[in-house]
Amino acid sequence: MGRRKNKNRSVPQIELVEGRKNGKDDDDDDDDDSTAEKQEEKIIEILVEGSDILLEVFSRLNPQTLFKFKSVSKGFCNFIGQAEFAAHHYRNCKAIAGRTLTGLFFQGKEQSNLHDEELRLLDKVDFLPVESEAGGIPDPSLEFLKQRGNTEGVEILDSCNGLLLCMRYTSNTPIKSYFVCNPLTKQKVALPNPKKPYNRISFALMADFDHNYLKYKVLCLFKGSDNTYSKLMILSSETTGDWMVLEQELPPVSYEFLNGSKAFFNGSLFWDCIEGHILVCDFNVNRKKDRCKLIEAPRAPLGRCLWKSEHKLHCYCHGFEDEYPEWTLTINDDGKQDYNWKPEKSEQFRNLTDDFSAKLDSDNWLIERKAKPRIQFKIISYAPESKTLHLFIPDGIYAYEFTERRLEFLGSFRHCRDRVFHSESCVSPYVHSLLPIQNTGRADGEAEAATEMKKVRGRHNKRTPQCQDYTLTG
Amino acid sequence: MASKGNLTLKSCNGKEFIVEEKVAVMSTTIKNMVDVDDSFAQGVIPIIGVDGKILAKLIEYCKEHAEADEDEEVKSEEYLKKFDEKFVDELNLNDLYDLLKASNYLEITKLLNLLCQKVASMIKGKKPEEIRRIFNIKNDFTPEEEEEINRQNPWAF
Repeated sequence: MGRRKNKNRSVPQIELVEGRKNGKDDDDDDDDDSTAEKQEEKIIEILVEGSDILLEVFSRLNPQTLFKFKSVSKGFCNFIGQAEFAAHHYRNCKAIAGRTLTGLFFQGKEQSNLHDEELRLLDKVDFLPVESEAGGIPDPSLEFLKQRGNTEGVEILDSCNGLLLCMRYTSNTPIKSYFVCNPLTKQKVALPNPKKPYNRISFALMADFDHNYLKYKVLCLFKGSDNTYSKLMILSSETTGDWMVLEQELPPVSYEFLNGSKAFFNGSLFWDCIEGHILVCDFNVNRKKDRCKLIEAPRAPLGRCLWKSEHKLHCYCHGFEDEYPEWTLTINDDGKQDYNWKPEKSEQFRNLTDDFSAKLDSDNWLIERKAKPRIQFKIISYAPESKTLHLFIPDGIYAYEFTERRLEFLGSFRHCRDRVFHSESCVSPYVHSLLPIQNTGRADGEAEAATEMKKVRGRHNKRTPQCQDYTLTG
Repeated sequence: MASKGNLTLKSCNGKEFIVEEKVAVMSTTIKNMVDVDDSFAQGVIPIIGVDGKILAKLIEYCKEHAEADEDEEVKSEEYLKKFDEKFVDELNLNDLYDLLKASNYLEITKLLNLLCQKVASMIKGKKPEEIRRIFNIKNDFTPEEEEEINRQNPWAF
């Protein structure tokens, strides 16, 4: 590594030396090596020499910076746009300090009568960046999913590993379209409408990394006849097919669990949707082989929420005054999968409840809420880097820092201020990914959506039971 | 000659370092050499293209991390994090790039990751034209094309 000397050159500007004012050079023979040109030569030399290093360096930049660098040159633009680069970027994002959270997508939802879908108010979808290094999102309210501007609305149903599950509806019509999309690259895949819409209860999304793309599965929980049981419908990106109904009958689902907490952990979806239990659905679930498992949930008289940290699945149980409220799940992977909940004796969470109540008292909350012994918050995610927990209550999102017990208000839902509690509002943890969505043969979906539109308009087509019972008002 | 359990590494300018094997095999390249050929474990391993100063730095880094891998109690995650931070902060640019090259060649993954992260943080705030200049890349977009691509990503600027 021979170094040429530039004895006579002054130092016009020092490139790439940010925050290093005391960069004292203790080597005896290269006191003057830090001229801008010299450094640049060196970078070029190394990065051109080792394309591995180039890949490593650039795959550590946040997407916002990468999109900015797209205008550097055509080659550069292609390099950044490659699936291989995206895969590398995804892996590095995960690897760096277990980065599991870029930000939160949220949407206030109001439903004055839980049994009547017609009375629903939806806020615009919005994005709240959490990780300071991560940068923003190109289109936080997901306008790219709309075709006809303001006559349409977008509802966010779930998120997983960089993908969102959304529903687009048109005001005063029963038309609904479902999409899986990547809000960073604005790629969208339209899904066929699930049959039997009147029975649908709730949706969930699973997404996982596979080679150079993200594969997904969409789950739809629906009621069986007389609501004596419930079943799951699944749509997979690995087949071009339609929704497939799992034969397995699950216990009936009540409306209280309409928006039950979910977490995708260790390759499985954990879903708090059936009383007293957590539904566990492996990504590779298929009709013939596997069944979804129901595992017993820790007892929680006033509701529970699930979230994941780096290596653990956690459950917070509301309704206990004198017990530790946090549980974690251990999974024995030897052969038969055994799930066991273990109470965590952590003072941190006891403090949280106290701090939360104190904060809300001091913020002059409504008397009716103050009168309640505890506030029912829902924990969304935990950022290990900053030791911060993200949680929400009906009117807004908060961050809670464990070490200093600092509770910070992050944002509110427009529609839901000062309204009665219900768990409809949606806050989804999001980690960005540049990866393309696995798409076996589906177009970006507008063609299908158009067909759907025609079908609904021309009601003579008997094969279109979709949406008939529904009208959404924006 | 190094005693048992130790290896001797020799830099390109002839400086020799005796290091514990567990430290040296943090480098996948050295690990492969030792695994394949016993004579390396006995004799001197030449580290081509890496001078004494850089090799000393590499060893300093590997030593801390090898010890931490062995005993988490003494060197906690937090300690390592601080060590890593200090380690990259104290590097001048020449050393940074020499280390980058050396850790790539010697396949010291942890260090390579750390250094790449550092370089990434340095180029993060640059403008596209600065990137062109630094990496000697020619702008082959027409002004219209460039405008169009910037128009598509207004949020990034």
